[in-house]
Amino acid sequence: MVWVKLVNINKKFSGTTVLKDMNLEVQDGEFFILLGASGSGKSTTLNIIAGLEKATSGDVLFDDKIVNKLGPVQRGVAMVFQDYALYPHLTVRNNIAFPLKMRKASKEFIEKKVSEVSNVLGLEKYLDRYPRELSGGQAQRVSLGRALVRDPDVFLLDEPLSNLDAKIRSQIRVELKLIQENLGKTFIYVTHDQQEAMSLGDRIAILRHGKLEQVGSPMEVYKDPVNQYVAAFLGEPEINFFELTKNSHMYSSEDLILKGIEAGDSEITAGIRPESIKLKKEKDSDVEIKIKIQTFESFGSYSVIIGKARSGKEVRVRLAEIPEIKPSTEMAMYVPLDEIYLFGKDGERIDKK
Amino acid sequence: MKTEDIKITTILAYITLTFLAFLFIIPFVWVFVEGFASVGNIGFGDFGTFTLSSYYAIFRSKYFVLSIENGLIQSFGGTAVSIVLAIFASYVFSRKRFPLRNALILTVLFFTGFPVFSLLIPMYVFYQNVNLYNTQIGVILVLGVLNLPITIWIMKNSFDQIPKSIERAAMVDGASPYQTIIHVFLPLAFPTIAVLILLDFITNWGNFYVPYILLSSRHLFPIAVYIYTYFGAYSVKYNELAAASVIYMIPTLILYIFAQKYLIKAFSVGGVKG
Repeated sequence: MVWVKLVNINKKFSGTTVLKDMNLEVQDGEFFILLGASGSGKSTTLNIIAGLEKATSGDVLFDDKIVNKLGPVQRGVAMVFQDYALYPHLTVRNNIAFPLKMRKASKEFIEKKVSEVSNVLGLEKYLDRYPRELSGGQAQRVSLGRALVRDPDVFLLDEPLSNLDAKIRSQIRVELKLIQENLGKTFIYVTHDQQEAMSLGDRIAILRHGKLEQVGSPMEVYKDPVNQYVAAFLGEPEINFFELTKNSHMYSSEDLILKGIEAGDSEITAGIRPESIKLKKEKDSDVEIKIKIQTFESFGSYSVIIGKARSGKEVRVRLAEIPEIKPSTEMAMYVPLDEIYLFGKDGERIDKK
Repeated sequence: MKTEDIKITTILAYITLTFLAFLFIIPFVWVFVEGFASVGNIGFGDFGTFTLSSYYAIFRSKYFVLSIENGLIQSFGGTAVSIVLAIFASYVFSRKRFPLRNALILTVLFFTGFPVFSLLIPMYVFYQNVNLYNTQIGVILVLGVLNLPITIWIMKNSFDQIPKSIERAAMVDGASPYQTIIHVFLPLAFPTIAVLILLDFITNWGNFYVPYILLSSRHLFPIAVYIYTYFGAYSVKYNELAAASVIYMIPTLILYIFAQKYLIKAFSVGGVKG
């Protein structure tokens, strides 16, 4: 039973601030995702939790105990790396056994554990192979096995699926989720892939430039982003933004007009998710946008229209059906008013419910 | 016409190469033939009859047998000193960040090209004062230290190629820095280390000045120094000198055969593939 807590963590590398006042709480048995673009400090956060790097200031707590000075082993963490980090000179069997050998476990215990873990991961056939003889998916399973064999309290995964091709990635993603559910252990998982984050996480923390932007369940952060960055980071295709200026009692731009909205700023940004845009008007309050169709991509179960609004801004619309449309025609499309997110000049959400 | 041109240049190339090959082979041939000759001479004149007497003669000398032993002790001892110290130094240089790290690395690089013989006379004086003069251990230490810079330099480069994530994995798996060196760095850098052992041994085995200056007793001379005693004040026994030279070559040849597999690996792959 371990929960992990970061209190006011700061990290500087020779003058540049990598992490700024990071406060984070990961609950016991939670699949927790650290999501961010490259350079957001997500891997550094993970390394600080692992004990591989020391924070410049602040505390790392495992179950109320400050572990700042403890190494990875005393903290009871296991780690899976993006490049698998298998020992090239050892067979799969010895790779998995390595952590136990370092602890001087008995031979029978090691053997029992290795066969147990290789059973779970379906690695029995590969035990006598060397890492160079494995495919990416198998190598990442071995790396996972090396973490599992130690029965750690906390699993740390640093972009474990990034080096795999799409098909194996989704397969191992499911396996990971099942393993975590079976073990009921705390997983902290770093990724830059929002799809991975949404599908795996119990909760997601979104990082930018070493600062925590938002923490919440996947649906919370998707449906209720606190700022423009989070709204843009999640969602495929990306959310559409329109800049609006105050004009007596309404906000307007060339593309759309919002009525009956009160906001402090004279300039705001409206965010509209591609799936919020409809072809038909459903309510009187629906906001109209005129879009000139450029092209559309069909994905079978849905399609994405790429068009231009009046101002020349590119707009993406996601539709469940495949409409009969011709390129370079202009169409009126409609957005329910309550599905529009509003952001102030500083990028913060201003219409938060 | 053209094919003939190519033929002429090819023939010329072969002639030149054969001539060069002869130049290099002649000393080897001479030393082997002379070792089995009954008449000692310098040129390719009269070798007399085939005999093992020169080999018999050199091995009858207690000092010659001792000199082989001394040579092996001093060369392997020096190699061990260089390799062991270099392993730890290279690990620190490759993986740790500390003040003056770059300055120290550049100093190591500088000493790989330093004319060490200029230090031997001060070394001689120093050794006399600390009672290391005329001891095996004294020679071993100097030989070890002389090879240390280049050994560190090459080993550090091979450690640099070991991915950082593997080291981190070892750390997370509970290996101490010492265990990481033993279980991860040494096996992964082994081809390079094998080659370094070979190179250090050959340099030590062939080092004449260090034992010549730091030793005075005949019973401590390594073979590299002892071989020169065949040049007597009034006469040179060329057949015995040749026989001793053949014996002198053997350890190097044996080591080359053992290290051959790693020589190819170390110079072709260079890195560690995951």
